[in-house]
Amino acid sequence: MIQKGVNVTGMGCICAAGDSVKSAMNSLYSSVRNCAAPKRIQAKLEVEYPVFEAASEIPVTDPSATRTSLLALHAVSEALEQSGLDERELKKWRVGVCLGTTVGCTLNNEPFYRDYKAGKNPNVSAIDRYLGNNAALYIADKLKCKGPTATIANACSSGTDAIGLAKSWLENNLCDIVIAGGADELSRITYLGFISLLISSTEACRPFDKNRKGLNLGEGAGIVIMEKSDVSKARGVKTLSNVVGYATFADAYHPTAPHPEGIGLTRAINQALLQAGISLEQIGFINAHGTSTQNNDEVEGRTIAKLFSDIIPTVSTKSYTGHTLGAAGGIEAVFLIQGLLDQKLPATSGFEEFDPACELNPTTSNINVSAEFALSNSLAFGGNNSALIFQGVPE
Amino acid sequence: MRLAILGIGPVCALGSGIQSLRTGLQGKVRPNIEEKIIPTSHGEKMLPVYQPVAEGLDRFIPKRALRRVDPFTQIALLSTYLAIEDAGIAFNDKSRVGVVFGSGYGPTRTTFKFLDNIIDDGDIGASPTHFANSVHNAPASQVSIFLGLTGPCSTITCFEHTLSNVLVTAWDWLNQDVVDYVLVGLGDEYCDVLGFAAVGMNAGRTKDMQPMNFNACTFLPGEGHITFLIAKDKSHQEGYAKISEIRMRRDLEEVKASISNDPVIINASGNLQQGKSFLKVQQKQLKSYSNLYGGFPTSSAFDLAVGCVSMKDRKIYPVPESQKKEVKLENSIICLEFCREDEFNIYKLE
Repeated sequence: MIQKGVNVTGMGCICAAGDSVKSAMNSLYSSVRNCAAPKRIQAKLEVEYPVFEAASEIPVTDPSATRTSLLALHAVSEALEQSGLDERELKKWRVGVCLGTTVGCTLNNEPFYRDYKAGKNPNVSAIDRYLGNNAALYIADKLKCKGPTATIANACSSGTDAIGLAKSWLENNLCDIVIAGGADELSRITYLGFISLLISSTEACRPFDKNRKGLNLGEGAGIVIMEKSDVSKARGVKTLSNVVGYATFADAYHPTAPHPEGIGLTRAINQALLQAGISLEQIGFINAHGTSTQNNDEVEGRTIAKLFSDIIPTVSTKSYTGHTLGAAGGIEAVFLIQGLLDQKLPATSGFEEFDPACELNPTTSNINVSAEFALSNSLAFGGNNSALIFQGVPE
Repeated sequence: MRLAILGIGPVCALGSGIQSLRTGLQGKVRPNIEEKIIPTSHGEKMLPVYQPVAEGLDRFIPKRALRRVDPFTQIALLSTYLAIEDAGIAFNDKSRVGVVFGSGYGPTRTTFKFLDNIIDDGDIGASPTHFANSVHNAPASQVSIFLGLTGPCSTITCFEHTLSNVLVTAWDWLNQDVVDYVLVGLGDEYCDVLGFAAVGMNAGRTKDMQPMNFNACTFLPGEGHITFLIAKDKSHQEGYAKISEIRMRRDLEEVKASISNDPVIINASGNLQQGKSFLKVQQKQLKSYSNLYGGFPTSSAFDLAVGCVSMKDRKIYPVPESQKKEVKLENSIICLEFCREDEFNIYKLE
């Protein structure tokens, strides 16, 4: 096997499925999903919309940190440990940080704004806190990383695009190692926003199912440690996977709906394959964006079926995490890499009935796969379509 | 690879279009500064704010098509159309045009309008239009939709690291040959909450911004958007300048070594923390023009535009409010962007 691209040497994850990669994968392989009425946020609505909340008891190691930053830090710590990067080792290398987020970059502190609007002259420390919690800058400051630092705000494809940008930094020798992925907390703003768009479900999501009713929001963080192969070799660290292909293209169609023909997604997948130097047939499985909304699943399902045939193993792990927005691409990359390592895919929980409009039968039970390469899709508001291809590195 | 800047579309307190920036540099027009009333615990305070003079979007898009487009996205669209017009380029293949935008705060007024809906009308009052327009990538996405551009489209938000990252991203797309052109846009929107925060953090103590006074807080907030049309450097191109180097997060010693003879435009905006670091640079030819457009996280993109105009006109414009005259510009100019204490991004224009 010829190893390509840049190496992944560590992974970290926190989401409703678990507070580590191992615990989350256990939930996935056991078809356990923690979807329930929101506990940390309240809303006055006629009906309840369940969510996938991460464990509430994240240790608050920094009182100035937002929950998004703490989720990111939690996953980063796990990933660094697996990668053997402690403070001393981090200092030796040019380390970049590239993270995706949506909630984490928005200036919308509701309690502060309520006080401001009521003329109570609230303390501006809330704004100061916002300024100090830009996702990538926060992690770079915490770890004293001196490499390039960027927070990507491409809505639901942010995490995938962060990994893609990190790949180009390494390939262009802007740094040696990148901490990449995404993080997002559950917030009343996105909760109410998605409900207002009429795409949230009042029951647990059912990606690609004929009777799906929409998405459930989630929260979490998914992080990968990426490094140039000469660096991981010099450090003597084990490679888990290689990031071999990435592309993103716009639909230029609608602010909140994908192009019905999936033109941007098709182009992103084809370009990512071209960059990876592999053919469609070499993709062993797909971790789909699979939000469980009518539009996304129809367009994505049809595009996958058209390109790959309907028998390629496809899973939507959002059925265990909900839609974690800016974190989704990071979390799904972690699950995909672990799937390559395990040569196994979980069931797409909630899927029961084939939808002819989607033309896709996702996994209905744990299945074994024989895959060297796997694809992760992300589609986003604004018509962004991104595709990442990873190569497995067997034991 | 060098990046060629073919067109620039600034929308700021000096007006809309590259000529407005040039006339501002020539001292022929003064920035539009509006006095905002800011509530504080000690009563109301006046805060001068640099507000954009956005004119002419209806030349490019019918007004009725903009009904659901928020004000920040409208100035982003205007700056984009102006950049394309300035370059005089028609895109033959719209699938090979990328859009990469950057913003510190994103569409703030729409973000707070969404909150207004919830506070005033209850949780069931959330507006889907305001929600969709409040996401950071709304301006870039609307640009891709209005212009039918199906190349890559991305948005970066990283305060003082935003300009460097959008340029590096544009460079990467061109280098990978997935695009022929990239629209690189940067901007920030002022809102009352930001004004309130600025006053709470000591802004507005002076009536004018004094960016070269490194010992006092003279920061005044601003708003604007600027788009650059960028392509790979080819010898026959018209345009403003080539970006020959982007160096990210460099320390003071490296900065001093890099900028020995070139004139240097700094993104000083009356912020004391910035001032302390710029004071250590100790270079005679430091210049700041931010009192033409005000302070905001992505205002360094306007410094880059000033550098481009200076290169094209082969002259260093006098710093506003100074009595000095224009100076002939030789081969290159540096834009120096403060990142954090004693750490800078360096952009070299040739």
